[in-house]
Amino acid sequence: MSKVHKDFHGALSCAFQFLEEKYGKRTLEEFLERIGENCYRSLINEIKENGFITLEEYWRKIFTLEGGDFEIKTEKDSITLEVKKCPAITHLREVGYPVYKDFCLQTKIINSVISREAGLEYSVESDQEKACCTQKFWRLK
Amino acid sequence: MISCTEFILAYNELFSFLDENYGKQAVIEFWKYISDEFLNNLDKLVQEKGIRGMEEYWTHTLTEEGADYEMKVEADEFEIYMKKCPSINILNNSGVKKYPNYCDHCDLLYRRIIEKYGFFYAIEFLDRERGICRLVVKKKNNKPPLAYS
Repeated sequence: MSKVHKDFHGALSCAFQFLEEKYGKRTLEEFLERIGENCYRSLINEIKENGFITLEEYWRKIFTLEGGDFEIKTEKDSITLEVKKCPAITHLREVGYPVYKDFCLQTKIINSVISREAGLEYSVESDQEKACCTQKFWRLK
Repeated sequence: MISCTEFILAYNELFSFLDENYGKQAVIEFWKYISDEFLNNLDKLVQEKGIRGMEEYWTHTLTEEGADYEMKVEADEFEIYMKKCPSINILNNSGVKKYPNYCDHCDLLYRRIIEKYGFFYAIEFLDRERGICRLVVKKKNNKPPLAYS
């Protein structure tokens, strides 16, 4: 596995805490929407062009790089990612960094932006305590 | 999950978001918060091991980040010559709009910790666009780094 600096997840958790404490939850949500729009533009464009294979390759790349336990299921009109052990939350707990109470909000909001911009539907079920979630993107038939 | 490979983009975006909505002072307050609340590992290493602690901290982080740098470690002096900052490299290759004062966080975040343990801290941004800088730390019983004079 390649070396990556997983402590960055701790800085991000700290940033979420700062935004909520200082400006409120709505501001944190606005910031995450902005990240979705500005930092994932090339991913959105690739999904629009190539479909679910882009998401599958993207997920495989980042979750493998970070050492996550995950499974991807692709069907004709949908793709599902099951994260059995989130590498970010696992790392934060192992190292002893605080985990922002709604750390999984990032996934919910950013994926919502990606799906909206790519013309897809999206759902997520997260259990932050258990460090797992199921994310699904699908096309309306 | 924002991957740690995408963190720099999110960090950069947060600086811009705060500056545009609340002004530069809000960015500075955020950097102070990160220094005080997140960099406890650096704080502990410098408190307990001084310059050796700085060596330990930056060897770990810069190796994981894939930086191109030279480090000089002496009894009373510590220096990093950053030849290619990994964060700037990511931003330059991403197509996102770089926060104009992005590099400044490296001044505030680390100075805030290091100076309280009896060191001079100076950082020269030699080329912000290409990510070249020099960070110099000296024990306060020595002459200060050039940037202080």
